[in-house]
Amino acid sequence: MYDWNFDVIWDYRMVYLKGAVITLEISLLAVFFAVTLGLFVGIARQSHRKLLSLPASWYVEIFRDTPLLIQIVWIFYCLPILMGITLNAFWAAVVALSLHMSAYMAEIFRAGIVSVDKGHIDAAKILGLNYFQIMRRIILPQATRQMLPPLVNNFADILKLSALASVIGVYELLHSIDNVIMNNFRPLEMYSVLALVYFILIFPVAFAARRSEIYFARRY
Amino acid sequence: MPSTVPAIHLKDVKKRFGSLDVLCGINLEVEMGEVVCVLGPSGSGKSTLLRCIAYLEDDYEGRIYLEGDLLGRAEHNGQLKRVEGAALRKVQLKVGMVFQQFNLWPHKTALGNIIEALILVKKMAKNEAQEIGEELLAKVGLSEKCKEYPSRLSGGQQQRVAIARALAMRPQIMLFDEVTSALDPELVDEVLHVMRQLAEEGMTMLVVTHELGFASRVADRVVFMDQGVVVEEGSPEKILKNPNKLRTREFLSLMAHEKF
Ligand SMILES: Nc1ncnc2c1ncn2[C@@H]1O[C@H](COP(=O)(O)OP(=O)(O)O)[C@@H](O)[C@H]1O
Ligand SMILES: [Mg+2]
Repeated sequence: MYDWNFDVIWDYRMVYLKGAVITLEISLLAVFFAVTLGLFVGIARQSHRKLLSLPASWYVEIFRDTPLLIQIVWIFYCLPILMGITLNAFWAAVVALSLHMSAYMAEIFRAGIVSVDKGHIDAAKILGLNYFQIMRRIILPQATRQMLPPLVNNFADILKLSALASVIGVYELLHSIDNVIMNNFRPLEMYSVLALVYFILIFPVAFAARRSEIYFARRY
Repeated sequence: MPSTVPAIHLKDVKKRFGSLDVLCGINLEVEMGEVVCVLGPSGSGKSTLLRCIAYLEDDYEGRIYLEGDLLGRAEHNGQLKRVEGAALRKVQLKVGMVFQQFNLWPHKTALGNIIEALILVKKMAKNEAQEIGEELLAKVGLSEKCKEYPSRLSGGQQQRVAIARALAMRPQIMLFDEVTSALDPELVDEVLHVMRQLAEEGMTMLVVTHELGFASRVADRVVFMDQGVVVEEGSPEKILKNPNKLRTREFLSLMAHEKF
């Protein structure tokens, strides 16, 4: 039987805390950029202008159909050589995660936009609203109802995927704990508590995703 | 003195979807203040006709004049060119339209639906828009429903809000596309009542309907359409009781059987 010793954990509480802060920083930045990018790409995909919709479709395909791990490594190691753009590990992870998830966000926005009844848009057109007014005041508020649960779910995914940043040496949760284990040789305790910390971070988000469905079902 | 410029004037309007000819050269005039009902079997192009006049379909041939102004086009050396922006909007806003499916915005209250365009398009202050909205809701008999979301209203109430929303923009012309077809029978009259009131106030109305009673009592003229053409038109008396064309007669007898 393994002899658990959780006392060591307390000594490393600051490592967990700092790692969690970095994990949250990466995730929040990535959510912000992924939602913003995803909104534009999703709208472009819906455009009837091929000049917009075609590149947008390719964008989505490229970032969804290659592994995030490869994207992180590629942006960190290849981008500097090919284009002379050097990002430190933290920002390379943020950029890769943002681009990757923006493709998923774009699909959520696109699905939300097409779900809006064409008749509601016709009514707005006749009353003289222009394209941007219709998008902002009629389409997006209605689409939100459908989009919010999957968007929040994506945030939970981002929190999980941010652990991949460890491969390029970002001291987020996983990498910080790996580092400690090399000194204290208590992987079972350290990893178990690590899983718990992730759960504590992610559970409220997943919970919020489910609550948001209920909230919108109750309003109008 | 009767006005010489028609409210709506269609000259040889043609519309196709892909290879399907939906409107095959429509010529139609509606005088100012006139109420014209359009009858015709399903698929004959009635909705498409109204959608062209509302400029929801912009890809048609021919010309549509609203109070003498060419809709969505400008003439350059004998060539018709599309126009957009303010030049389009000025003419397009002469028209209000009400749909079979109401098309109220579900995330806005009854009042919210009405004031939206007043604020965004007419740039009105919110309280001014609200005053107009409340007035219009009173006019359609829904004063106490200001703050309700559409999902909390009956079909008849929703349709009356939709009429109020269209009227808020002060259109000169109102288009109605089978506005009572989606309603439970007992809710039809409250909507027809509002439309009749509007007709009595002198609104120019083009009404696609299957309500023959409304057509005979309220319309100044009835147009019968089939397969993208106007088959015949005339007074309600003439068209509903004694039409010239066989197709019209067939349609009317079919209607009589279907309904009751
Ligand atoms: N957006 C569209 N795309 C393709 N076909 C259409 C479209 N809208 C209408 N149609 C076709 O045009 C014809 C006339 O339709 P519509 O104007 O709705 O007739 P009505 O209102 O008299 O029933 C129908 O055959 C219909 O299938
Ligand atoms: Mg129709």
